[in-house]
Amino acid sequence: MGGVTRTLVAWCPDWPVVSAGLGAEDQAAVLSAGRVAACSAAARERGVGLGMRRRTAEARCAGLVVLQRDEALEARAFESVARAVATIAPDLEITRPGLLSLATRGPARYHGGEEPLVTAIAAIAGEAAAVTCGVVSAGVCVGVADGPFAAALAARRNLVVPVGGSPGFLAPFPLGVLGRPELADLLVRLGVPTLGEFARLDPTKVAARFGPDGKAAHRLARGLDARPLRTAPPPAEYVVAAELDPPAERADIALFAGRGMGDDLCARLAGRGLVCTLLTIEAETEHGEALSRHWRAEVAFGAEAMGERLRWQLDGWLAGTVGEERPTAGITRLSFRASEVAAAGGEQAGLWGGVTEADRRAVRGLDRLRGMLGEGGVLTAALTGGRGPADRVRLVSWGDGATKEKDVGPWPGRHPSPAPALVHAPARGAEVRDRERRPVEVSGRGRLSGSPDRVSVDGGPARAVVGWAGPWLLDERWWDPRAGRRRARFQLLLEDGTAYLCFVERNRWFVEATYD
Amino acid sequence: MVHPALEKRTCVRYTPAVSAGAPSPAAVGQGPLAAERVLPAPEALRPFLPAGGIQRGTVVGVSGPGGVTLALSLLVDPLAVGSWAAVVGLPELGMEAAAAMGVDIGRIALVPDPGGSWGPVTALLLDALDVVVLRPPGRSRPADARRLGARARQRGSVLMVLDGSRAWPERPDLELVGEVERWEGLGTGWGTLRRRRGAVVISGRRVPSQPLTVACWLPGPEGRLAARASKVGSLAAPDVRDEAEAIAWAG
Repeated sequence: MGGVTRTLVAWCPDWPVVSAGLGAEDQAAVLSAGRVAACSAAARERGVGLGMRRRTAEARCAGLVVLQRDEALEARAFESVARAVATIAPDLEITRPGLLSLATRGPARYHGGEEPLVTAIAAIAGEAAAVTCGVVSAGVCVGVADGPFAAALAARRNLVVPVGGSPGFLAPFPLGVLGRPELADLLVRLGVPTLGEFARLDPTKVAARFGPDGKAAHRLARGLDARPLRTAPPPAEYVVAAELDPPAERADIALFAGRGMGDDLCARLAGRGLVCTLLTIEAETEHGEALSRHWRAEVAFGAEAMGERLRWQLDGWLAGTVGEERPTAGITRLSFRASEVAAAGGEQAGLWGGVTEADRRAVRGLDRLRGMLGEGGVLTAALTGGRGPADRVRLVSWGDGATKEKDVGPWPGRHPSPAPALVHAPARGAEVRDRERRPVEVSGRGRLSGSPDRVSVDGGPARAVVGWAGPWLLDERWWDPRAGRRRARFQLLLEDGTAYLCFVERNRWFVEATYD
Repeated sequence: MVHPALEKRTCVRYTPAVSAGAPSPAAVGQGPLAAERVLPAPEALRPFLPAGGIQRGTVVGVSGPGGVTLALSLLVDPLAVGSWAAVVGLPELGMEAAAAMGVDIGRIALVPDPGGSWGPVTALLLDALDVVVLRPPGRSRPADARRLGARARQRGSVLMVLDGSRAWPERPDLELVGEVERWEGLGTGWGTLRRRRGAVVISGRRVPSQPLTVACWLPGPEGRLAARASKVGSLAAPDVRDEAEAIAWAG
């Protein structure tokens, strides 16, 4: 497989829990914004799951130890694992605290093959994790495959996928593992449920239909790297540095000196239409020691994310949790290097391009609010195709990007405009009767049994209908017996001025929206 | 940009515009500072609002039938010139309707279910964004209302309270109440809903004592508030007032 790096991924399961000093046998969960962000194996067995509210988790698992998430602690503890692994393979990349990857070529040759390397890394990382966190059962899963994406999946199974075996290994996985819910959702609806089937599609057609991001996902599914690999070292202008005088012994002082670096680097890259995907944080001390660590972005780094990595890294270097390897003198120079860059996607431009102070303030505030309310607390909307008011809007959690408006073409059979201002999800049940008090029914050919005269919503009092129109018949996805639906849509205007958008499905009436 | 809260308070003069066209900055107040302190309002309402728009740092109550349409219509122009808005506590808001009206929905954050923490959530949003549309879950405590009003004033943002007259214990600076007459376009068994004859009643602490009724389509055929030529005299532009009086209740 040309152009794919043989990659080893070491993954510490449940790192937020382990780094807090709790093992797999402790019933523990780590909360972030009121919801479970990670839990131990024992808690999982009792039914605790990610995203659960605290109360639900505690109800499932009596005696659950609940901790607040401390990412700085996770990063600090993981730094000692990284340091231990770096004694074997110095050029490692951290994706997030708990997950690191490295190119196996050099180290595997030194250790006499990939299997011995895996054994050595699992042992040394496992020991470092156990010592740092004081958890005997702290396990480390290690996997090797072509490319970091396949390797991360292999690590979950402790597998070494043979060279060239990535496509076969990836084929049975569901599309959800790509981490692109929107794309996965669409492909599943198009009848492409697994990575293998996705990989079989023609690359040029995928690129034409799904754009650069879809192309990257397709490369992953085929067992390639999302993007062609880092080649020549990026030029010097992708480096920003801060000199520290006097030298900083403490993390917070160094952090203060480096506070503007992320903005600087992002602005410099944005000027060329680039984003940083692999960030190298380097530090020099008064005694000439050089510290360096690569951080891999899951998509791309923004300035805030860079600042966060710097804080974690400085904490890891200077807090010296295990006592050894702490630099002997203060830091005199800090630098950010964009070791790998990629063309900025269109999505970034909407959020960060052409930014005003108001935009920055808004984005910062909404980021904070999302931190407060958790995933799904703050939403943004995007229009999408569909025939009902509830189908035509897709809500995504704030910060998940992809709120770019798609070109919503004409949808024959959509409800008439103006669109209703209030949409009820789920639709409210209703009862519609004609002048003789018989329920109004719609035949398969769209024939009404009588004209609507009274309507009661949610079992409320019957109100007189003074105007109505319809039925507009809708026969969607008739080719699929499970997803298919036949509806007849109506507008009803009531005596008191209320106007409803209703539909009839299987001879039951529903109010799907109100014209406020 | 200097934050509006840090600017010296300028007296914004109310000059009722005779035509319904976009008011020039000079007509609204005194130069660009005044324009920055005022968010643009829909054309149909512009001539009737003090300062020709929604003043920053104020509480606006929106209620009555058509209240949601009215609130969304008020977001169209500010968002088009780069403001940000949030809607708190209104899970059933039809974003398609918003988009059809011309609201830039990429600049709206939705907090459909803030639960008991709607107060702090709204306060945070008032800090960060320009307009926050809030539907309180019930009648709010006077202390909460005062605190949020003060926050809006301090940060120069606009708090728009839906169901304002019922849910808000304080009298808003500007109160817009929708009144509707009838829908047009729908018959019995034919047609579709096209537009609705209605009116907006403008009152509030910062407007003349006489509530002002502005005839409009609520919504018009594009889904948003639209001007409706009125035949009745009382619905025409207000009389030009004595300047001193105008200054007394403006700004």
